[in-house]
Amino acid sequence: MDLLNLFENEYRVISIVGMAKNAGKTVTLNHLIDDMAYRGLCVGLTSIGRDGERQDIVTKTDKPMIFIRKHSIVATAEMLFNLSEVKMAVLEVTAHHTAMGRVIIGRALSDGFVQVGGPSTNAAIRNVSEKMMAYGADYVLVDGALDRTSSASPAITDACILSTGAALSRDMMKTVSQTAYRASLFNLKASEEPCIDSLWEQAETVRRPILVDDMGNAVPLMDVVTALSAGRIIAEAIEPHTRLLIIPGALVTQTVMDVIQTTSHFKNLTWVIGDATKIFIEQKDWLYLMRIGVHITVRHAIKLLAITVNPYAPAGYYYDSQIFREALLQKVKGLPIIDVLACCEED
Amino acid sequence: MKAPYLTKKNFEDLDLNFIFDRLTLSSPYGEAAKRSMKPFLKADQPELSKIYDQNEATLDLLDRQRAAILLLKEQMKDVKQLEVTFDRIAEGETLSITELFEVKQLSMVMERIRAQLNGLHWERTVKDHMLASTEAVTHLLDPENSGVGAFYIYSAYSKRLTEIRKALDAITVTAKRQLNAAIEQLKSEDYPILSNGELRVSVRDQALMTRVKADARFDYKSEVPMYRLFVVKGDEALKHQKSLLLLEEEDEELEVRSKLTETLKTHLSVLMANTKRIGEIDLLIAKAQFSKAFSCVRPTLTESPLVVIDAGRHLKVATSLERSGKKFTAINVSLKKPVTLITGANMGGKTVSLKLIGQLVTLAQYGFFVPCQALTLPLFDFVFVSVGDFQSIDMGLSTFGGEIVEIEQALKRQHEFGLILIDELARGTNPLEGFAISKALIEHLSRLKSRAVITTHFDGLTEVEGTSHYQVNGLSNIDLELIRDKIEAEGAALLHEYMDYKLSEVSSLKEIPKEALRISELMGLEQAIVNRAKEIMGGSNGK
Repeated sequence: MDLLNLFENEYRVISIVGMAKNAGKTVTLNHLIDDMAYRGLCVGLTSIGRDGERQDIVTKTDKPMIFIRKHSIVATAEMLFNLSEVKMAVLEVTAHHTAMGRVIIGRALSDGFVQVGGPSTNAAIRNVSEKMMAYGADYVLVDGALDRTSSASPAITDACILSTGAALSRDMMKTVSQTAYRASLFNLKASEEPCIDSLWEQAETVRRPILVDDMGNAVPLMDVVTALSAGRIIAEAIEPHTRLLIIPGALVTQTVMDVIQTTSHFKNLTWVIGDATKIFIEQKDWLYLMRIGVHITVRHAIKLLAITVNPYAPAGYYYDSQIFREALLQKVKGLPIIDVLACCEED
Repeated sequence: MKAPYLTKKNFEDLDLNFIFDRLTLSSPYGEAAKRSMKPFLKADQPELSKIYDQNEATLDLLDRQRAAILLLKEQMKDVKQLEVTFDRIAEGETLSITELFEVKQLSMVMERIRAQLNGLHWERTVKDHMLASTEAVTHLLDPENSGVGAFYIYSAYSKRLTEIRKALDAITVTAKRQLNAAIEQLKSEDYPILSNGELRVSVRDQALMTRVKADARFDYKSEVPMYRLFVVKGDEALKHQKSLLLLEEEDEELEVRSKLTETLKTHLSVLMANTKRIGEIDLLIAKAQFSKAFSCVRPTLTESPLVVIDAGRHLKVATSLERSGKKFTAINVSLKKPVTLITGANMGGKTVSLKLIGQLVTLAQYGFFVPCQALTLPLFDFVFVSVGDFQSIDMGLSTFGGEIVEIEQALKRQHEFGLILIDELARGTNPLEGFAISKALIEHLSRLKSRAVITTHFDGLTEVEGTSHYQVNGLSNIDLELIRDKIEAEGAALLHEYMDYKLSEVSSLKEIPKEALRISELMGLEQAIVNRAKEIMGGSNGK
């Protein structure tokens, strides 16, 4: 099946999220870029940067080189812009700052490799994506990550592709079930609270969890400093008529466990998390939480379009591509599963 | 060092921050122009008049061509601060591509602003700050005259660069052609080669593996568990030539960039002068918008020491009143004599009136139009204001001591022409001494060439020669019996509704009204006490 057909004409800003390093995210990206180039489409490219990183860390981490075609549009940090192999014309110096300088939008003057490091906030990602489309990009690809240190999320894009692969585990069934679990999280419903927009904004501004009672009164929990101790503080603040708990950061198992063990009022409570990529709870814990009636929703739903698989692991082992794909399909019914490496072969 | 026109503290005391915060600038250079605003002194009078003329012309433009002015403001938002880049140009360092891009953007924005100013006949109407053309800079950074804001090192910059790039293109084409030919050849030899020149050999296919390994036309690329990947070997000579050319290109681009930077150096003064002008224009428009929003008028400058305020408003107080649906009572006051006294009830707005005088005068001297119907003023050498609490902890002085230290600073400047504003003189002392000190100070001030305004509670100060006297009307014109029931029902807050904040000039002999007594009575203080108080007052001002 062709990946590009899945979103053609419908979604224009697409994020690619990797389950782990070497899960095949870059291969998927390169594949999509090739495909678009083949059809004469102009690609815009950026990535979700991580916030708060020191410059030396950013530069030392391995950034994948992405091969782009002439005329492609790229939004990347000034330092990476100057380091890129391919020569680019500067189209705009944006006001978004990263640890590696301002985000520059450029147009490739030839084919070649680029390094991409984009902005780290939702608003900035959306903004540079729209700018690239204004400069003529037919599609924008956003290199995303399952990353608790980023405040931006793939949910800001129109649709999302999940990349998984043998790199996750030697045990194929483990990889399959972890991937299926993550895909199921992507199906979490967006909160339908009438005032969620303003409540969420409030929580993001104070960077603290917020409790809302059934009268609509919102109380930010200013005592919460780390996610580690958050659970107990939240539990102590929960009262019989607390209806909503909004958490503007990562959700870890400990927090939920603390709450359900400390207070009996958790059954009336709805949790609101940024999006499915901000949930760091193991599958067995998640199943337990669902069974006892913990109700978790997200602020931004994610439209998951497809899963790409890479049956090879850098450690040297591999799965059978067909069996891998079929096993995955069994678990995530209705979602296209694509082996991008295999596609290349069949060409 | 020369003493300042206005101390930083007095700047805040007069609520000038409130005014300056309301100037909305569009560009970083406008912000800089605002920060560097200075008061105009006597020697600068012609310059200040010129500023007023420009204010007037800009206001007029804002009236007639509002849309065009707003567009100009929008355009100025695109102006970026490039001081670091300017420094680098001046020091002869070579600019990066992004820096050159930003200079190009700035130059193009300047062209657009210049065109907009031309459309407004700015040069003819405001007669200053017209932008110089930056066409030469734009052209330098857009050698192909594309009119596009993007920038890269165009081939047009150098013959050598053109040749290098041509050679590079040729190599790419040749390499592609060679690759295709090789692929065709290998296909004909039954190699299962892919169209991109890759060959995947299954580890199980030993025959093919041996054959490929032996074939010098292939290079080993990588290995995944089931396959080994080979690629068609390119022409080594061609590859080598390409990498040499790329290095040369890099060199030549650096050369071009350094030449461009050198040329930019000759345009640097124009660019920098333009940024300064943009700042001034930005400020003029912000001031015009402010004048319009708060109905300000042009002050009249005079050589005589007379200050005349007609219907002056204190903007901060007026704005907060408006929020609660109330109206500020405009104040008329003239400083005809060296000392003007303002007396009146508590809560009567004496302090606000005092600050208002200081605010209007300083604003005028800072080049603003002022919130009143008319203002006539001379240019002062300094403005001094003493309001609020002066307790200075580190000096261990009492409130009164702090006040005296400040006032002494102002008195020292007796050879200058200042505006001295003192609120509730000597309020921190016992009344007897306070009165004596106040009287002595007023006598002293009345002999200076400065103008002083003093608010006070003390009776009898008005008899000093060389003073004029204003009273807050307060409750004096209100029949208390009429509002007593209302006050009882709704509380003391209602008093403000009936308070008349206007100032009336009174003869020097008139006593200070005893409104405290009236208010006490109104608020329901026991009648016996009120009566006794009236007795003690000796019937003065009582009925």
